[in-house]
Amino acid sequence: MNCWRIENLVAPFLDGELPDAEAGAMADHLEHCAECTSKVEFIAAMPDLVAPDLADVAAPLMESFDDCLKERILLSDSLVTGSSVSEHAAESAAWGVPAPTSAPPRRALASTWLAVAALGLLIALAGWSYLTQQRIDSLEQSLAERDQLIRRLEQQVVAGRFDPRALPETAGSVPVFLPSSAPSPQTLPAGAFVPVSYGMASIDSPRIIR
Amino acid sequence: MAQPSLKLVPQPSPQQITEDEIKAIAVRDRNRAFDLLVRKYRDRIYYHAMYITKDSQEAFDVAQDVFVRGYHESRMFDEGFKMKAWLFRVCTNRCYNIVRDKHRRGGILDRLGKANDALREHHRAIDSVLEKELSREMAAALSHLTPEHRSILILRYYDDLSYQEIADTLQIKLGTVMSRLSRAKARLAEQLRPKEDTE
Repeated sequence: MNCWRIENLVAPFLDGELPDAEAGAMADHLEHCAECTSKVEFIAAMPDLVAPDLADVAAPLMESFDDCLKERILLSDSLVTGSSVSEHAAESAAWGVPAPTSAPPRRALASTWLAVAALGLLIALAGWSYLTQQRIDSLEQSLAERDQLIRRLEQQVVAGRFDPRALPETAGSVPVFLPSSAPSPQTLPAGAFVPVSYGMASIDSPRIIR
Repeated sequence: MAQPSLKLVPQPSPQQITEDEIKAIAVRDRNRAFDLLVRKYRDRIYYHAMYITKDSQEAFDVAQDVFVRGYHESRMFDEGFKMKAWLFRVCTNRCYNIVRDKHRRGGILDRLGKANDALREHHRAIDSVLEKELSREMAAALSHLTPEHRSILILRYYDDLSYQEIADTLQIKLGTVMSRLSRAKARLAEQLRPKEDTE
């Protein structure tokens, strides 16, 4: 062991932190080296480094430490971004701190909600236009069938062969427009056919005057 | 049938709880573990900040910052994570930033306002105790060393950290701890020499 090495090991040597082998080698060196011995003795003679005793005087301050820390954590929670919202909320709540009311990654959330809303709007529009088209088609078909039925009934009436009981089964589901000047049921003879209502009505339950 | 006997088991104080026990608690209750961590180390972290900043309010501020950072440190309760070394490292770095930046005033504590009025008296009391301590020869000599030497001496002899803990705190090798501490002690002895000579 050389003098340079002794200089670098003097603290652990004096603190008793040196492994036995190295401590022995150092003791051997010191026996033969007066210069190193005087350096080590000089450092060893130094008074001990003793920490200022703050325990008693700091005790009242330490009592408020936890409360202050909770406030600080709450404050930091509202500044932290990029960490799990639910995690921080749970931690804050359990540490006696009310969970932050505002979610930290608000921007990310806002863009997600915007995307969802846009998608929803698109789906709603597509659905609405599809349903509207379906409705138009079905109305057009109904109108065509109604015209056909009316022509047939007119022919029957004109020919004096009109019989409500001979109405086709399918006519029950066909909406029928009847003229507003339709005769009132009171003026009609028994057995005459009267639709349920005027306007666009279903004739699935025709009333028979008895 | 014999009634089970009820035994009173004394609860260990937070200072007695080991880091491994805190980590085991953190598995099922992170907040309880964090609470224990704060109670175990808050005084020592505060004193450490006091030794470096020599200002009670600054030290309080720093100690709070250290634990706020600890609260957000996701690895804190991981297996193998050295909590004590981490806390002392963050505290040391924060303190030297403050010491370097002498103009830094008006921390978060000041902005918190009212709650701190009650604390000011305590801060003043602690400052006056430390002032007496600092007027001592040893503390004066310590203040003449480089921050590197001063901090390693404080960690070893004031904070009572082991050599391995110092290595973990300063993120240096064990051999470097030994040599740096040796040189720091030699410088400190030199600082004390002139006065010894005159006596």
